Amino acid sequence: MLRATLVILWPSFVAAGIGISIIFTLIDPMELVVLGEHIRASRTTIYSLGFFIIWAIAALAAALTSFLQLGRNPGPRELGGGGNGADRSCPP
Amino acid sequence: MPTNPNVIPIAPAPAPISPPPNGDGDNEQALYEVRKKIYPRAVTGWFAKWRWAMVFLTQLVYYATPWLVWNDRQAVLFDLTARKFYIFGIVFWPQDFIYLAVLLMICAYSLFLFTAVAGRLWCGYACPQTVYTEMFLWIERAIEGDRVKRMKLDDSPLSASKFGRKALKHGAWIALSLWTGFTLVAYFVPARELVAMAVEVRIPPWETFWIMFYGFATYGNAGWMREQVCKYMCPYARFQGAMFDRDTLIITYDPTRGEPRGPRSKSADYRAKGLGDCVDCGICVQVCPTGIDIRKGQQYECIGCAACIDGCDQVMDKMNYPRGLIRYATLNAVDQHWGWRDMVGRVLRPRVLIYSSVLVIIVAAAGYTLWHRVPVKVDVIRDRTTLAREVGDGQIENIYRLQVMNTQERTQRLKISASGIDSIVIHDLPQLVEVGPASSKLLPVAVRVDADKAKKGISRIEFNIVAVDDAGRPAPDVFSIHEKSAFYKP
Ligand code: SF4
Ligand code: SF4
Repeated sequence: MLRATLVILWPSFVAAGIGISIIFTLIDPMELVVLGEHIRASRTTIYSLGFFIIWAIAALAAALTSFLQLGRNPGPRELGGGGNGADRSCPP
Repeated sequence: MPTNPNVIPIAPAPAPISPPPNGDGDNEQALYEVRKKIYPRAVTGWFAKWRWAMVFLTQLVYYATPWLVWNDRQAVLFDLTARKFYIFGIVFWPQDFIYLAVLLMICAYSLFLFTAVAGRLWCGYACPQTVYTEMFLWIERAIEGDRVKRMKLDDSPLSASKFGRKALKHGAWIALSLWTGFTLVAYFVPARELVAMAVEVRIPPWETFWIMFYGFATYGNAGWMREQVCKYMCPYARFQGAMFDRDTLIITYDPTRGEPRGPRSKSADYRAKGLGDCVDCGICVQVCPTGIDIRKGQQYECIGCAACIDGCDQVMDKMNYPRGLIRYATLNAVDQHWGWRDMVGRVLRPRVLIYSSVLVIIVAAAGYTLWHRVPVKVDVIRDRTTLAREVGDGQIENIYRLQVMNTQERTQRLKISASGIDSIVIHDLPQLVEVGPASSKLLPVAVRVDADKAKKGISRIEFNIVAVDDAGRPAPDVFSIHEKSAFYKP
């Protein structure tokens, strides 16, 4: 279970990293209007919080994907793509 | 560096070397699965030297860069609060977004190219996971001793000396991790300020958080999870297989030469006994940081670190056999007994040519645009509140806001004019506009046109920005920018 959690968290972490860089390069958080008001936090806070929000969403998607996969496949080993040595990414 | 270049025993390994790869290491409830804890044996040799050279090189760059100074400021600083990235002489603004995309593309294509040519070079020599694991292992070895000592220590009951050693090891790991986290944050907050804040214990909460976060990630990944990160978490480890082919250079065991494996005495004529070159000593398995047996053929767990090559070469030297039972080779080369010449002859294949030409094109284009980068950027924004109004003496006036950004670190003097319609003038702008180094200015601009000169509706106009020197003449590295906009007459 813990392994599944990390397999979900890590790729979504990378995705959040790329996502946050793209979003906040294009948008200045100081110009964001949330619910009709300018945000009053510092940029650092917004970047950091933004990162965690995107990470959470990406992790949610990854979790759902692996949950759906789990239903179709015989065992939880498939979740991480194996690890039993039988699953070889290199050509034989 | 491995502390004790240990003597390699040439004796048969305890019966089943694999699948439980590393002898009898204790079953440890690792972070997220029950795994055999792996105790990699220290290895010395040619590739180990290269691996350490890369550790030094990458970490020297990583830890030293925030301390470099350029133009009286930190040479490399990603100033997120001011939304400016300083990289030596260049200041990047959010408007330079394209370079971020280009950088990502260059990274991706380099990875494709390296992988197609020589497999997991990145994993074996440069990936932070490998590099920090190597550093953490070095600390572990220095404090707890080499493989057998570490296994014994872990098996022994808790004693004062065991506790002391473990505490010392974790202390050293945590110190290194914190320094790593600190260095990461020093890329975003000037390093010297950060030190001053640290001395006075007043690092702001988010900065503290990120130091801890990255430090904890380093400690966990390099100290505890190690090879599991590569095996189960790393996406590259999985999809690199798609970039491989039978001519990719990988770490291989030569079964025709090695098999049938088996122990023998050094003096015996092993060939007469029908044995191959592999003495079945298990060294290649013991040095492997991922705990696999390369003799079973290509496995996705293999990170291409070449530790098994060094280990086996030492055994071969001891036995007076030629080196290279385990070596860098392509699958084709192993199957068909090719030498280096044949392998090198197969490097330039379509896949490699495509990856490299795309890479060359991207790098050349990025280099060209960087070289010819205009140091001033202008955004024209039309005033949204009033479209147009009539002013005295029969003129129509439109209001714009010009955002002028100076990406250079010296003051720019700019002459701004408008064109596109006869009689067009900028009403209220000073002769010269000065924009300070690496800063931007928002200029409200009123553009006026004689009412009878402009057509009804929208006309195209252009703002022209020319750099001038102190005397008002066009500056030596002269540039002019033309920004299009629209003029509206009701
Ligand atoms: S098999 Fe050899 S190259 Fe691969 S990870 Fe193990 S020691 Fe490194
Ligand atoms: S391949 Fe080399 S290191 Fe591995 S068991 Fe055989 S002789 Fe020993």
